[in-house]
Amino acid sequence: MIDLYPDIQRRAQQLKPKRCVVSYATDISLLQTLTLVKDKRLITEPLFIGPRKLPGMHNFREAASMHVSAAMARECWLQREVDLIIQGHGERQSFIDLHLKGGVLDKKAVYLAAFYDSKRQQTFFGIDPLIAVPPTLERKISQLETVAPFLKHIFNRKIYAVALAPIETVNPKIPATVTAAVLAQMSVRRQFGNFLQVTGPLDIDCALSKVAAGRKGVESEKSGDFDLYILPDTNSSYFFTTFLKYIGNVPTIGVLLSPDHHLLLNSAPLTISERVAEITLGLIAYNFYKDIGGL
Amino acid sequence: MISSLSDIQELAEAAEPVVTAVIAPEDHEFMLAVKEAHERCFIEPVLIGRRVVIEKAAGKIGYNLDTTRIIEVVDRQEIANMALDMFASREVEMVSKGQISTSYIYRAIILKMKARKEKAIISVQTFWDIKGCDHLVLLTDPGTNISPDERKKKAILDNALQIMPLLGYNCPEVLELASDSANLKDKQNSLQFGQKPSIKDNKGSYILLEYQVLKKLLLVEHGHSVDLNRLPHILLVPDLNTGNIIAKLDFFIKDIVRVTCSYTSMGPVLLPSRADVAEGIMREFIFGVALVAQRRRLVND
Repeated sequence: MIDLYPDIQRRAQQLKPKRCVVSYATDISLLQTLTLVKDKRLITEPLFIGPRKLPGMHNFREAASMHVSAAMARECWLQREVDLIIQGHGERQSFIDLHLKGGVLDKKAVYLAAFYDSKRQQTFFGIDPLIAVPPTLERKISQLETVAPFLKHIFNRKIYAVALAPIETVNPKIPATVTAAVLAQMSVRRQFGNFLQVTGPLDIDCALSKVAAGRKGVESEKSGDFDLYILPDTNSSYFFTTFLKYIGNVPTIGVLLSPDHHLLLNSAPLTISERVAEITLGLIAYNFYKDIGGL
Repeated sequence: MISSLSDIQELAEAAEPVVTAVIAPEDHEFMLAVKEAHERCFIEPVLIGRRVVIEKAAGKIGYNLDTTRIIEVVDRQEIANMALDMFASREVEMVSKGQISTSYIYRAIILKMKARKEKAIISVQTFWDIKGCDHLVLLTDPGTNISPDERKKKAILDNALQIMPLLGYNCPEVLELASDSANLKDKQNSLQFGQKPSIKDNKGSYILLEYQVLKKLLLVEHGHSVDLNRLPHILLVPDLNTGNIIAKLDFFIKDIVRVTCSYTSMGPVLLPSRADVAEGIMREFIFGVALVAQRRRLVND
């Protein structure tokens, strides 16, 4: 039925059904998606919180506003009624603020975007197009410490990441090149463990094409085949994601990984296949971090 | 209005050959492109660099340089400076980068602009021809300004507005890109800083769109499909990190074809990436020739 993101689907095969709540559910297409996910035995009957009960919402609680709905969903999660919170409608940042402690994101929180390259039939990931924080080295290290074990879990092998920068040489005037070089060196010294290799700095053409890398005299055996793109900052990551999705028509989903709890945000527009994959990714995240005792 | 690179090619094919200084065409792919552009009468090349290396590269592809002017210069910066000297003196009408780091070219342009007492800043213009979009889209500046403030952004936009009329865009729509919509108007590096949403500048030469999330601009039919025709003509990128990464997404998105130059008061300096192969470099030559042809036409008019 769904050919997207085979790595995510493969990992999901071992999952037991989880409980989820949809905060401010107003969308019939989300209902259809959840029915599919339920049919795959990935979730139990979902709980819907929203302004009015729609046909097919067997388990429903009324909430007049997005704010109330989010608060009720959080309470369900705190009471361990549900495992995963899914955003229905509403503005994304308010939703994040309502769900994370005091609206302040932990430094380990990271939005992980997942893309599917249908030509190469390859899943790849990018961080972080959503959380606007200063792109410090410390922050990048925290993000990698959060994301890398999760990706290893999904791919079940060593992860190859690229730290992108505008040029492939280190230039102190361009901080992204310095950060990328440090991350690469840290991976050489196995400071992220022996399952993550970071290459950088590389500019985007060298990262995407082995031919391009060769033309520039950059040796990078994984060019065109990286699992994870570490973008220099929020702007570059946001537009990398936006242009791939809306101009490149690349299937794009994501999950917000946080020490508090993981959130599935409303990253519409998504096709039903993409939405199924996104919920599946959230369930895998829940399962993985629960097993290792949180972040 | 020139709406695609096919239109650009038609313009170039109708033009007289453009005398072009080619900076360090010292490898196979660049030389292939020079050869083809020369043979198809797009350019009359003047090759600047290390003669032995240039002749070796030409020999490999069977390009006879007997009638081609070669200027022997060894030092990388001197090669770029020589090309800009010829450009300023109108000995050539166009300059193209070869297999050399772009930083040499930027330094040479800055040096020449200072000598000419020009106050403009240098910036790079990348044009996208996107399948499904009925116009060209200009991204600027993906090449030189690391983190431009409001003053620099205005200068970058001014540079873009020099080139757009040559392609028939007399009042282009401009969107300043930012991932953080809420704070854009409060940021001192924003064109909209301290201003009400701008509709037109006082010259009426462009339309600065009020900030909006790009996806909202593109989505139609209640978010179910994307209309690429709604892309603004000029996308002003927030910084070098963003510009450089998105401008080269054609390496991934096959529906985008890219050409890049730095348009100066002297004319176009073509900036093919060192990663580009002959086909892409050839496209740059054609683009540059079309720009020069339009400049000639404007002068004659």
